[in-house]
Amino acid sequence: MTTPLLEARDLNHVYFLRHGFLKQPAPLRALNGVSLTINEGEILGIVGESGCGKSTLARILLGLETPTSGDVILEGRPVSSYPQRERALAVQPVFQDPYGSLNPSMSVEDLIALPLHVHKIGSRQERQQKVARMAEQVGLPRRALSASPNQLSGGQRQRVAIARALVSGPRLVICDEPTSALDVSVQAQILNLLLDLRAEHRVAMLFISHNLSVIEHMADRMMVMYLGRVVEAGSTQQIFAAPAHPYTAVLRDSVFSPDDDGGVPDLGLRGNFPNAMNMPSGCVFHPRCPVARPECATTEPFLTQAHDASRQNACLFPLN
Amino acid sequence: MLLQVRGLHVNLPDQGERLHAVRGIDLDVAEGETLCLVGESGCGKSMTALALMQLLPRGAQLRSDRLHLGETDLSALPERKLSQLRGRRMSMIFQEPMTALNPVFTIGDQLRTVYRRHTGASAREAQARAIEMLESVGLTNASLRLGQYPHQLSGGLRQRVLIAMALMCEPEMLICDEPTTALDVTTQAQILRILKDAQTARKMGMVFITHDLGVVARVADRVAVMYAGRIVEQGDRASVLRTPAHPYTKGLIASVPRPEGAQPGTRRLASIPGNVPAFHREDARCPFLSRCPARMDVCGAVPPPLRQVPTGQVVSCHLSLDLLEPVPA
Repeated sequence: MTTPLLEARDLNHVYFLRHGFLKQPAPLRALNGVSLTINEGEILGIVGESGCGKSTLARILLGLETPTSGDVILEGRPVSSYPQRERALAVQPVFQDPYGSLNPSMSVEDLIALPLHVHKIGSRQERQQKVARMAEQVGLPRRALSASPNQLSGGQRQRVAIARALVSGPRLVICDEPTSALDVSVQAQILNLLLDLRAEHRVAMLFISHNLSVIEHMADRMMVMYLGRVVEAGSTQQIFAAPAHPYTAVLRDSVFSPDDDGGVPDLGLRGNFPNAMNMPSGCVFHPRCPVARPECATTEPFLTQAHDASRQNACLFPLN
Repeated sequence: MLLQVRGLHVNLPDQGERLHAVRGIDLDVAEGETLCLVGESGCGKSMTALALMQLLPRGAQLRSDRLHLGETDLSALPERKLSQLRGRRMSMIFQEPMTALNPVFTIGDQLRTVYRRHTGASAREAQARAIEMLESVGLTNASLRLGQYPHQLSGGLRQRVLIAMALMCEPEMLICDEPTTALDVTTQAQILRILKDAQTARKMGMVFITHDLGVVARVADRVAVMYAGRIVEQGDRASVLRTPAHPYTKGLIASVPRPEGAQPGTRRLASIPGNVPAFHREDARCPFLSRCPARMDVCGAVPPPLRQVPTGQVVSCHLSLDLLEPVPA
């Protein structure tokens, strides 16, 4: 067994939120015992709805936040022992909003070159060449290099963000909803580009999305999150073929393909999305679960191996 | 026909020029029918919705050969008559439920006001109606909810409140502009079911605007595909989605990632190179000209004809009928 590129062990993260001036801050458990591994050149998909903790996870893996407890291990060393610069050289982000994540007062060329500057990679001339090559790879026209980001379309901005993330040669790119703000025909261009770059640079990706069909298209392995917990993990193909957790099945059935015209399905979901400040007892999904039994309200399920060693789910009564 | 639109044009001021956002579209919606208006950002679908409601932003100009709701000519009505009609005969649901609700009034205030204004009902009747409507869109504890403010509700609940508000006076026509785009996928499915159930129960006509072809497949009876202010293809759901004829529709459908059981990360999606153009001058040529993979010389010279293809839909394209004819899947 080779060392995984990145490993997260039992991450917990708690935010304290103040509801009113005089009230004591109340804890919100954004992550609850999340572990994961990403191997070199692999795409790990994370899927879940708003409030499931997927963006908190991204921020922790990027070092933008320190987890309340748990370890992140990058290439065999705890990430906390890395100097900031060294970590940034290994792990780079691509965010959802191609409008907010690019400094509008810089030219596209300077934006892409910034990581090279920061890490003092190459001479001025070498940097220029690297930036030009990267821009070409992500499909930016030459004239875009001198433009400011607000002269570009959404798809082109996301290409700039991807070029900037990859120019310093990171081993891992964390993509947080990279295509959610884009039109479908542009999304297709960006997904193709990410797959091409993966093939060329052997860069690993953590790919976060609420869109299950995008995850199915991109990810070798996937994790499904609900209210800060991982409820199912395993190979993307196997999970799609036969989801074990009822929540995964609901998510899968709520993704509509242009090919299915059977009317709007009844997902069997009960109640409303719970308040994360007030977690349900037992299995956190039980108040909404279409197949919950009385035990689910009292016994908390843990993520355990099922089928074979590569699959895990956290359900007392798994499907299939 | 419940809603009849012919030759609708909308243009807007845009940095000293006029942006032609909607450039001559025709639509028909029958009682109980859902027409999906589908397209990417900037195609003019939201401006079309606002034009139907006569709620265009200041400075916008609207021109139409015909704009009728039932027997009423909407383009001839003064604003006073229009405001009596909106919310009563024709309602609209917006994408962002937080901005569509007034944050300083309770849900109950807002629901009751709509009902009393249009029907002259008493406060007690309006209260009963508000509870009935909230329950019909699946809200539990409806009387408690009436005392809450919009910020106290989740996005899915707010959207249900907006649906209840839109349906308070049993309108003939409902216009939905991306009503589920801001919601989580599981919530989206629930909201779509509520909308479709409400529509079936009332035989309401619906114009449903979306960029999501998966949603189109689930809710539409008929589909109109918009591109750069024009409708390039219009027809039954099945003919448009299963046997698309216009090169843009084909490209759009092919670019959607969908389950196919292939090894992830191995398959390339079809994509449409380039971006949607904006039109500042009248141009009757095909709007898809600059990106079309099947472009011919004639496309740059002559406006495309409207023709019906053998699978039934009407297509605006120069390709000969045999080329347009879709390959069976």
